[in-house]
Amino acid sequence: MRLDLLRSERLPNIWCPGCGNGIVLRALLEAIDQLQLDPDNVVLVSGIGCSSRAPAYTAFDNVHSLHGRAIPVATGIKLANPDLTVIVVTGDGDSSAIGGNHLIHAARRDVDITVVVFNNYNYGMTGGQASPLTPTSSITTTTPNGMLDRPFDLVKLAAGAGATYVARSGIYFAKHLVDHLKKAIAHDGFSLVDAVAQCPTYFGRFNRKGSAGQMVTSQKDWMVLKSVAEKKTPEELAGKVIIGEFVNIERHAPVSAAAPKEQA
Amino acid sequence: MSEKMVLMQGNEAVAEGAIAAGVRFYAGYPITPSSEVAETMAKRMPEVGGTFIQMEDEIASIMAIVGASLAGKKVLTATSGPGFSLMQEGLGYACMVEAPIVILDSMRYGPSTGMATKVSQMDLMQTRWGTHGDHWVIVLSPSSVEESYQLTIRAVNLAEKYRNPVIVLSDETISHLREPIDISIPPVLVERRLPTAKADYLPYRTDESLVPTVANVGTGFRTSCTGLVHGESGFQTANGHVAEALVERLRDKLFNNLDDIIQFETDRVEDADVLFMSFGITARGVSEAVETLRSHGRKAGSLRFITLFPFDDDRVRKAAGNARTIVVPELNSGQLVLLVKRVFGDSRKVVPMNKINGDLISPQEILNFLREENL
Amino acid sequence: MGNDSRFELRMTGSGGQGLILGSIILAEAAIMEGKTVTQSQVYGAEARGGTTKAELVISDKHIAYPKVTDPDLLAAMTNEGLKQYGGGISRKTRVVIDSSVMSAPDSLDEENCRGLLALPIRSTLISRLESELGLNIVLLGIIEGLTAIVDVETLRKAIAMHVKKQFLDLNMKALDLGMEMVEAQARAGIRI
Repeated sequence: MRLDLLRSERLPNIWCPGCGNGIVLRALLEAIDQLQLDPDNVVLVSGIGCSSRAPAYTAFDNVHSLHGRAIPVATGIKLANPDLTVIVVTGDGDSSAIGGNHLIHAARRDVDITVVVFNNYNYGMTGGQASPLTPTSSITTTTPNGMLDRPFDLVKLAAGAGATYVARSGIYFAKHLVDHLKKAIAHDGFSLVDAVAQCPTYFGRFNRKGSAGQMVTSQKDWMVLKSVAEKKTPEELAGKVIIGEFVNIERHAPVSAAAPKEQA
Repeated sequence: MSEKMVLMQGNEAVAEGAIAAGVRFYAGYPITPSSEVAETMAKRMPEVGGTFIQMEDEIASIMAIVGASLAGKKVLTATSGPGFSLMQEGLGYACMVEAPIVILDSMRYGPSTGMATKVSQMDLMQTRWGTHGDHWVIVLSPSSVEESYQLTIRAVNLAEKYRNPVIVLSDETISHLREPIDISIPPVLVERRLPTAKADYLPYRTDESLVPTVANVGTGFRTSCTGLVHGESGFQTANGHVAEALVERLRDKLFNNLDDIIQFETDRVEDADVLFMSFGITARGVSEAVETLRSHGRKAGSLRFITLFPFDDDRVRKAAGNARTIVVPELNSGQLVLLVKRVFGDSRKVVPMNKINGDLISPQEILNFLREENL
Repeated sequence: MGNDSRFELRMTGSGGQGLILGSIILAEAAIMEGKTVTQSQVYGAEARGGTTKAELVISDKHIAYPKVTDPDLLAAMTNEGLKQYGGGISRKTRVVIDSSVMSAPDSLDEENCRGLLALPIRSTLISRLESELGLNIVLLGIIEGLTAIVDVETLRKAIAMHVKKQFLDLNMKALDLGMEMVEAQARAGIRI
């Protein structure tokens, strides 16, 4: 990977040993590099949380905004300068709880930005509290008796809100992740990648998921490629997370009321 | 008056002033009594090559204008109390990353949703202290449609010059009032300073102006900003000395330039024995009351705050003349009067005059008040 | 208040009668003649279809206080409008009501207003011009007939700025009708 896409003087990063965020960041840089984007035209915008610190380790223009607010900031930047590639780096809580409203509306508008969700199923920075993506029954510091609520399916949420590119991957599937990040960034329209990573410090420890390494390698056991999943029964897929590309459609073409309408 | 005069509503004047000042990005969310600003911008932005977007709420609105500002646009949003409450976190963020933004807050009756179509001046302290942490904002207060236009231009210029949020604090009456205004003279425009050399570029390094030359994103400077405390590099630090220097600079970049920022309008202050201190729409009732009092031989005067914040005690003291009695009429339970009392302590008789029923203070009510209070 | 050139007008009626537009048209006519104006109205849900109020201050000088405090002319086009916004009048106030939709309230006499002019505005509009549109312009004609606050040709210009071409003729006739109604009263010896 090109080291000049990193700000090495900002390293070491703040992430815990065994954190999956670095691998998602690496995949993102790899995708940008493979797409041969001019680094001067790439802007990374983030909110608040462990993942949202990632842009500051990159050599791109980076805007570290407020909790949940990266998407409206990115919307403003993209509309002000449509030539830029604007990528939102966010976490599961940042994007789907406090920022959930912005997420669905950006998807509905089909703003040409890419949202990369570093999904570790909990709030890491504040000490391992539950997020809207925390699986039911999981232990977190705010669900000591197990999560009662059901989590969002982020893929379905984005798709339902009108995103024109939606994919999910996991850090164990490094090439799969890079490939889908590339397609998301290259996509003309709103794109979202749910990038599943691990938080060994909190979510892993509280839920006895083993070491960081075990958390990564176990992804191959509970994640199923979409192409494989399509041949399986619902019973066989119970407890599994499906990865792959879920939406990849043409950007919706806005029609101005002032423009002549075609006769039906 | 001449053919140049156009009848315009206060909210339209804000939109047209913003356009004249170079604003080319508007993001907002509808709320009475500010919605006509959004409606005007929705029509006008495409006509002038700008961008209008209606966001999902006021939080998104202010963050979108911050984003567009960071990308180099002059920007505006408009709201009223309930929406302004939602904008507070974004306002603090704009202070911290030093993004030039302009917000119109058209005051309606509060708290909460209050009375949407009734006037108040209840957001005064919210403009100054609405967001958390030590921070400084510029707040300008128009009292007419003409001034809504002129002060919006000034707000955009000050925001760009000092890289700071500027709030235009209007109200329901001015927002909806129609008056003839002259918009034929093109304004003098101020552009933000930008870095010239990429070598050794540090976004938050400043010269004696204390205003940084942050590069617009997308211009190859690989710039960085954060709402966390940061040094010149724009990257987060928890160093207490850096934090102290940053917050002091955010204050001093404005307070070193109070002559440029602060404006009052005074009327016959010199020999006044009773002086009214007011802002916004209330000052217009005051103006007529002063006229009447003078015609009856009473030495009345007026000081109207055009700039409400920064509020400089010394300048207020100097501008206030020697009046024994200072009356502070306002459409709230007493906010401006707190500042006036801070300036004068017990050295003058400072008398609050408050009205909180959703109507204006009329000139006659001011005259009655003086009589009833034996002032 | 110590400003003799100040003319204060309040119009009240129901939403849809075009009173706010009427006040804007008169405001623009006054501006064309080099006068200054402040125009305002009630806002909000209560103004939609319900009772509405439009206010206009015209002066040769700078207008400090922008709202009507002591109207020279109050025009009420509905009972409800008179009830809600008919207060605050004085012996300086001339009151115009539409007698085709409301009767003159007993409360209005020479003790508390300068004079009352009850004219069948709506019914005359319908019978003479076969139109329900243009009530606001008939009212402007009445105001013009009573006050000559602006030159009538200026008023015509201002009306033309605001109405669609196909309704221009109707609106000019409506203006004339309003002025005629005042003249007829004067001929009958009724002056307020």
